[in-house]
Amino acid sequence: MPPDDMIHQVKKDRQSKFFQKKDGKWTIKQSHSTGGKTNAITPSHNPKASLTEAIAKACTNVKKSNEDHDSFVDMILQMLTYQPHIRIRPEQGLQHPFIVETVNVEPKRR
Amino acid sequence: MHKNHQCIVFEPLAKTLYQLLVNTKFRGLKLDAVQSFAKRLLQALAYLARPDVDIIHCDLKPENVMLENPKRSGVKLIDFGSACKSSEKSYTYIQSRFYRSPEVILGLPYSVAIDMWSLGCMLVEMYTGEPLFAGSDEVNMVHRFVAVSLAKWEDVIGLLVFC
Repeated sequence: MPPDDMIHQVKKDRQSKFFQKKDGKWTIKQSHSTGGKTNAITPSHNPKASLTEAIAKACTNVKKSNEDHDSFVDMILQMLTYQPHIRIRPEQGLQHPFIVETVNVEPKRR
Repeated sequence: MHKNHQCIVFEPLAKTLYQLLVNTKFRGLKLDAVQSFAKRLLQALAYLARPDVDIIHCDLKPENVMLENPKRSGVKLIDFGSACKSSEKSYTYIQSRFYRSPEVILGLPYSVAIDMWSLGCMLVEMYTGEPLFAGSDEVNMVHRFVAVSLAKWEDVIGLLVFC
């Protein structure tokens, strides 16, 4: 979930479009537009695991399992931070291990 | 001037990163290729973010990054048609949906940081071949963010302390 202070800044009409408050906690509003098929959104509490999983899932057909994408995922997580002020800045990105270190790729893809 | 028309001449570039993904049949590129694109684009964003430049591209996506040479990994950021100075922002409806940052979706003030969000989305797509957040509308985009739960570890720890 986006952090509370970010949600609080959102104008009321927009706020209610995306979020609802339940028992004093902000949650995501379940979509009505899915035509009855409401897939409950369960927020993950482990962003690194869920992003790694999302990447791995998308890569299953692509035989990239030999590639070490840990430092890649770490950099991506810092780019995809909700709050703009703590999101990684370009000059910090250029110092990130994923950019600075040599990426090990298997010589053959298949 | 050519026959009374003012002409602007650009260097020829090879193809866009989107076309490159099409060529991989949307299987994505190897990580070393993603790394060199990332480095070049971070350099581009670092330049745009300089206080004396201070430009937000506002539409960073694979279609707007082009290879300089079909056989090499050098890239250029193109299409500044939506770009603005961060001091002179005129639109609230910006960025292509899949690459749209949370602050733009939520109607909050935005800065050069929105391009970094787009870059993160785009780099994952270059690697996996598929858009990371292929939302059908803005509400669906936020659902997709929450499903992959993007927060820094500190926030996650903060949440656990709160519970």
